[in-house]
Amino acid sequence: MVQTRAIFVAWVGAQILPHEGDVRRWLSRAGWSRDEIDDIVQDGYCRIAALSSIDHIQNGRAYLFQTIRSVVTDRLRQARVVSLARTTELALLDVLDHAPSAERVVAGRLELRRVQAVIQALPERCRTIFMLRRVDGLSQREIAQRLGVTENVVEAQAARGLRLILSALTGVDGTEEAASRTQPDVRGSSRKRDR
Amino acid sequence: MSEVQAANEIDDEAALWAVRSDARGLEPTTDVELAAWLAGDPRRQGAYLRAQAALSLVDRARALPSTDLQPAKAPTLPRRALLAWGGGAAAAAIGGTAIVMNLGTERFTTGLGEIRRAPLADGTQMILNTESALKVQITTRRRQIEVLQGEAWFDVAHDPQRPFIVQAGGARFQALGTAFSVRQLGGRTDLQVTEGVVEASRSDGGQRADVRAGHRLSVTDTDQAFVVRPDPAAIRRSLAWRQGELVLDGETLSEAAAEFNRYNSLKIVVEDPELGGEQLVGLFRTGDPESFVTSVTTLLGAEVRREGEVLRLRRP
Repeated sequence: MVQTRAIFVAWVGAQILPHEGDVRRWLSRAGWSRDEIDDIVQDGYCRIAALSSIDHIQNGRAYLFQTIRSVVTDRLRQARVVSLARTTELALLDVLDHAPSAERVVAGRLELRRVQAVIQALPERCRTIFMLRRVDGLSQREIAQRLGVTENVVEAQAARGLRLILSALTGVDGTEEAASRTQPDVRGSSRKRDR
Repeated sequence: MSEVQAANEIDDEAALWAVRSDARGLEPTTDVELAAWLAGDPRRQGAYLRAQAALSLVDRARALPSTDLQPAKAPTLPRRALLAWGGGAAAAAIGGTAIVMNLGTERFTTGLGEIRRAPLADGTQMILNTESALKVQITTRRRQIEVLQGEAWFDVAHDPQRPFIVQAGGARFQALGTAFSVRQLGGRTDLQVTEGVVEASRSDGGQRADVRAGHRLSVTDTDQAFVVRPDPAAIRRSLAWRQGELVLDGETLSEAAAEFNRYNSLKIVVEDPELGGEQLVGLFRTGDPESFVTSVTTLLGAEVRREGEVLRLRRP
């Protein structure tokens, strides 16, 4: 069960996530606001999370576009006022989701190089913590001891790094701004949940 | 408090939960708080999946060789491996006395899938890969290793008084304060140097070569000529077995299957040559061929048939 989840997560990382940026750009061109796009994308991931099997999915990119299209279609049906641009843009999806992408490889090397570049560009402290955890494989406790901070700080910084990486990878605007906004929230919620 | 939580707030929390569940090994089925958070809003499942997917992407990027992505404290790979072991060097210090001690010949072996760390009496760190057999003889005069089969990596304790010599096939490698691996498999010997210099020579005194860090020397039983070429990235990758990992970066499915088969009784057979030629990138556990096969079936559109201890892969 756990292993199945890990494979599913790896599949989403390799086949879905790399195409989120294109989906966001398409939605943006279609006139959706940043907040609306966040909602639509999240809704899309929710539907993907509810999948009981991924065996029938041949092409992750096409599947993501198809899912987002159905999210958008549902929203348009519910909306009282429908923008013409948004409905016509829907047709474009058919073209976009067949754009060639080299997915024969488990995950494109270029994509992984991009991830490395994004990690490299993280703010210093955040980057150090992220690297100690993911590259050196230290535990949160070891990192906390080494840096003389609490484990909560380590966890919050790692989460902040992950958020920044996600933003950079998926082409969400205002990465730095998002980061400074994110931090207090993350700390706040971590305090609440820790015993 | 607020009726509807904003999407980016959910993403913030999801990132925290992804990091936390990774660090503490939490599962929604066993962790009440994680389960409660997920149940609190239907959108959280999606955000959590997305954050976890990003972490998995990061971990795969980590496996790629890169000059940019060095460990935070920038220790070299072998040193880093050493940190985990500690000790061992004390015995070497005693060796300085005039007493000629013969510690005898010791035999080290590993079974299928076994990876064993074996610190030697002189302070040298040795790690044996799967299905390997070595003979080790350490005296106050010299250190003599014979790789009978398989592969081992050595981080040699510096001791100019006692040359460190590894024999494999018809080749002889003399370390000059270095770290390197020797593989003896299928009529072929490979030397991979990760630190310092190794002096290679034929046992019959024929050819000799100095092999520097980041270089690989190959020699086959039939050809017997030394081939030395630089390939630091590939060396780093190919030594991931010391951590029980198999790193693929453009290797074909057939090559990857052969690697997995070195470690497991469950064998992977690729029936379709075209499928076998597909290139892969990824980080896998050497002892987990099933995960690998599942990934392959998912990502390359292959199907798997299990017959006893054999997993047969082909295109539908």
